[in-house]
Amino acid sequence: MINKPELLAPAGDLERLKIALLYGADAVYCGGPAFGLRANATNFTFEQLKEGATFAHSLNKKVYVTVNIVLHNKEAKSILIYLRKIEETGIDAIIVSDPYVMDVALKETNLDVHLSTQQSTMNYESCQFFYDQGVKRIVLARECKREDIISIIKHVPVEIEMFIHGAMCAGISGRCVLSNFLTNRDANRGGCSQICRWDFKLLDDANKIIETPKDFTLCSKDLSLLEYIPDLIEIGVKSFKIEGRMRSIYYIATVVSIYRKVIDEYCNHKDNYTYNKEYEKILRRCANRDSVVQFFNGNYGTDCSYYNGREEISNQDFLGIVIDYDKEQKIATIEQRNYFKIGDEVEIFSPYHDTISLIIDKIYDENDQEISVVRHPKQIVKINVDQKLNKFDLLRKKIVDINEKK
Amino acid sequence: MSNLVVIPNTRTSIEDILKKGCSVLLGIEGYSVNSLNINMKQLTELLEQNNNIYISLNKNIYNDKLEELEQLLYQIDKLSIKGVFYYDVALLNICKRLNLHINLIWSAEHLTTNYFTINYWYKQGIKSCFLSNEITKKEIEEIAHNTESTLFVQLFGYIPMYVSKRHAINNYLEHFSLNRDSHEYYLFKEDHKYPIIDNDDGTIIYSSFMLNGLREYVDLTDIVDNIIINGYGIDNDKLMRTIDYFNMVNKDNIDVIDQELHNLFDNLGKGFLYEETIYRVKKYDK
Repeated sequence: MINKPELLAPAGDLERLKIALLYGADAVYCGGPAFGLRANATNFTFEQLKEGATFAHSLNKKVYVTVNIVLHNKEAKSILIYLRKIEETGIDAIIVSDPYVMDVALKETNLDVHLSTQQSTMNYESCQFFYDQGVKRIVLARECKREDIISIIKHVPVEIEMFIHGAMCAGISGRCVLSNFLTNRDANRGGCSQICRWDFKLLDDANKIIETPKDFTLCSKDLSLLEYIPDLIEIGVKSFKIEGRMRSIYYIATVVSIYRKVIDEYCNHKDNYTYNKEYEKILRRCANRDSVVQFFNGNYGTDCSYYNGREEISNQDFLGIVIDYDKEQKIATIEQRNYFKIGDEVEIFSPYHDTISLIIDKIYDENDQEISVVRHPKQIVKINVDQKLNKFDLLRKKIVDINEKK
Repeated sequence: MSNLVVIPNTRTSIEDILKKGCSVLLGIEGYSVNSLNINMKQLTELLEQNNNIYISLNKNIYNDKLEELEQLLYQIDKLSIKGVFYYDVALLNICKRLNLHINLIWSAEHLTTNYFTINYWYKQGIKSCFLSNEITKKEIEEIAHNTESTLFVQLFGYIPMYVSKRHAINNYLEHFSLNRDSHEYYLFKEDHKYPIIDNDDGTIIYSSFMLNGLREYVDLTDIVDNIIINGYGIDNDKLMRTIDYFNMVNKDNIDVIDQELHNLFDNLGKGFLYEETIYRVKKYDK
């Protein structure tokens, strides 16, 4: 019997928390009102954390809160009060980077403590140190190779969490302060302005610009370990983490549901498991950047970065979210997210049922008047759907792989 | 009165630095970034002449390096090294496990930013700390007044901003089928030129300016134990003159000496000594 790993998803706000959990995440991580590494994201109030924890626990799932900035003197002074307020919300663990926060949390609260990837832990000696201090889980550095992970799990009984999908830092986490120097925004306190995606001229030792078709950039491609999920399960990684607290509900729902399928398919039918490449198409479709394996297989060469040939594809697949379903009339009420119209071939995907394909035959506005197009953001409309839908089901364009189109 | 600890730029400057009564901070090949790296044999030879030497083992350590690192620490434990700057907690764990008595200096680059965490490490037996360059002079003073830890603060030279395992220059040149035929490379943006190094260990990027904390040295010398001068990118003659200026400066001659430094270098700056970095726009509901 295989122990199923935890699928851990990002939650930028309460709506995304609920979506992530409903679409198959076992746990979510989110920022509290302060001290998280997404300082300018919406983040959660204490009340929202409480509501999120209650919602998660009702599904027998968990919520982790990031307290992972690098503290300066003035922040460190107020950390204990903050941690106690976090504890009162009923969340399950905090993710910390600064060892002082770890120490205070372990001594002064009953919170479980997970060590953030910001510590860039990539060997069993440092894992042992933090495990001995009382840390329950360590989020490994993204630079870890397969052999490192195996060795760490073999040597130290601490829970291991690792990133399996999403954006990568170009530098070693914690060792990049380009943002501080170029924009005065503190990378290690949640203000990273992603200088790694900027363009630079590259000069040689004679101060001459090296002429190339594209300017220099440090920009990394994203990470995807979809194909390696069975391997990671066998290795014994406890938690599979998806990056992206700033991402949309459509992205969260899509990525979570795909990884959920792969984990379940492997764990439930290990002997008959085959890798479904169609899932890659769906993942590619909801992202606007390329994904590669990065450091896991040890080949972090030219293929892992962009060289300014990147074209960000604005994704408009996500058409709307189901907010109600009338069983008698067989009518779904949809909140619009992107333009759609009568005759469009669409899919409705859901954590509760298989994906439904249909062609939109009629659309009604809020006053039940027939309309032909839905073009206004968050416009409330109704469409005919024979099969029962649920709140938080998502309406998207029928998936056709972008690369195949080209 | 602070001690001066100098990161040399070349092998030849090591002896000159030591002759001026300063300590040198050296890296060991395969274990160090942002330093002039030597091997253990060379280190042993240097120590026969002068033991005013710190070494920096500040790389993030991959698992497959641990056994080798353990042997290295055994060797270092037997040498009369003044101290070992480290980044990865693995070094602390190995030293504890093997009961080694190396003077470890917490040197986690951009993470050494408050006295609470410094004091946490102090209780773990780490009695010295190299402060982050991204804190203000006021924060340095506050730390100094609230810790027993021996402090190291960089007050001169280029500042490391970025360390990556990736080979940014090599990959870029390879992608466009270009040869690597320059000894040095720089990133250039909006009139700023940033030194970038891609070597066996990955990629390092330095600040576009050289930190000049000469005035602050005068103010901090009684409360900060060690001042670091980073000699990266500075030729030997200028580095020696810089050391002389730091050795001779006081409250009475600061204006003259500071002007001399400005005459020597045209890209001096104050870094974050008076400029706090922004980290949060919104307030939370206390």
